[in-house]
Amino acid sequence: MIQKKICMVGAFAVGKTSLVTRFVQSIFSDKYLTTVGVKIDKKPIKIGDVDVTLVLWDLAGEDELSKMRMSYMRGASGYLLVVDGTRPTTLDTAINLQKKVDEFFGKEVPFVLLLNKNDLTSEWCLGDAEIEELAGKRWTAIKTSAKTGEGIEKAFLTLTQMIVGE
Amino acid sequence: MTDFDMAGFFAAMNIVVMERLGDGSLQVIGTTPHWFGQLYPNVDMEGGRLRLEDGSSFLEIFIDEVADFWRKNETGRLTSDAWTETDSLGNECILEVSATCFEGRKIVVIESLGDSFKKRQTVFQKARETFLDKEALEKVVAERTEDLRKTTEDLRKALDAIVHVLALTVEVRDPYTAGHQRRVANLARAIAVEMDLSETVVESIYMAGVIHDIGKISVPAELLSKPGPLNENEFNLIKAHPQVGCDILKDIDFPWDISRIVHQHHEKMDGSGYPQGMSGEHIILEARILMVADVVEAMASHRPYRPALGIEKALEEIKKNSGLSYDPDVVDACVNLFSEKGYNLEQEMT
Repeated sequence: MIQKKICMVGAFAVGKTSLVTRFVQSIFSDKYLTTVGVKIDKKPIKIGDVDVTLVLWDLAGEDELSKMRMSYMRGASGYLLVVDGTRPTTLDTAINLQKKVDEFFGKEVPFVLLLNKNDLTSEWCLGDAEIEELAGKRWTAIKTSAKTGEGIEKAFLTLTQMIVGE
Repeated sequence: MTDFDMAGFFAAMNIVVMERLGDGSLQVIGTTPHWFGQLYPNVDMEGGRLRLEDGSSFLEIFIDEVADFWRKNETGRLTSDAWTETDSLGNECILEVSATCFEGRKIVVIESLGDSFKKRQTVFQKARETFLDKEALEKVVAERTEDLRKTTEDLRKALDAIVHVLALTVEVRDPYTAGHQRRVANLARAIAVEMDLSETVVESIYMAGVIHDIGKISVPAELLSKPGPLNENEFNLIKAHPQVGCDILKDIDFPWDISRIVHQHHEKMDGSGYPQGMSGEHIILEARILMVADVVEAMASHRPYRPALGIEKALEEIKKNSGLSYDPDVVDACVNLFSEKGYNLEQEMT
């Protein structure tokens, strides 16, 4: 059994915890409950014939008061970079965090960008310009909704495949 | 204190106390609460020794971070963030780890947070909800500001269109001066920019220039295109146009003082102008600029009563009467535009 550490990274209140909870326990709550520190969960999955246990580190989001502690990324094989599609500033935060993570590791670490809260279509703010910018970076981006479950399995499986395939 | 049951005390405090050994393992001191065994089932319970794994667990990352603190044998303690981990029975444990040096030994204390975590979480929760409210408010403000900007832009475009239509009402009656107001407006704006005036002033000069002859609507069309010289009565009719223009414009709530500029654009520095005979700095700067632009354009262009005199003659005229009829600073800026900056009235005229 392979064990892989994956971190959830992004601004506060983008839905990192909800994505993990939906993926691990298949449940969702509309109530926002902020993460303090780190929450660690495990989830066994199968990639082809390979059994992999994902150790999911749900890191408290960045805000004006607290910055992400990069040391928590130590030993991570990859990470999910989460953006709230209804809050454009969270994309800026994600872009900055991605740079910091690369600097921390001194190399590019596999990651997938999640454009979360895709169920909130009327409040969606990410326009063509932002999407084009991401396309320019050649990032793998997946639209997700912890509420409906859209894209979540795909997100974790895509990242795990990137990691296992390395 | 010799009979103090340290191990029992640790159990009562619901904490795990360990010593970091030279080989990197952690030696449990005393007994451990039940949650510790569930969380670290691999701990060698007989020897009470916890061997760390691959360097990526929360405990290992923390221990790595406090290495300097231990090496320097500093006083006090370092404490981690809270960390939540699920034990082998599926229970969530909310923990915090501290490091300290005690009698030269590297001590690690893991504490189950319980209710104190809820208080801490409440503080963070409130702060982040406030941030979210602030973000939402900023978003609304940004959206409304953008709406306002668009509305202002639309209004501005409508205003521009109205001003240009007003200008045309004069020009359709006087084809010889068709385009005169636009060219004067362009030149006046260029002079204002050359004089480094503010954007608002530049804009007001331009807009006033576009309709500065609106008052000529009161002058009979045949007089405007009369090929010969005007008699005194006819000239008096012409001289009334700044006042008529002002009367037409004064009740329109422009963002600039256009009616005043139009009113004064034939006033001269020495008081010999019309309609009020104002002099010097009693004439507003915008009108002094418009005056120079008007004279230069008029002299350089063809008129029903004479052919075009050319730009050289026009510049000669304003230089000759600089300080008498015309504001010297405005004259300097205008001359500079043509002689140094290559301003081309002919090009503007095409």
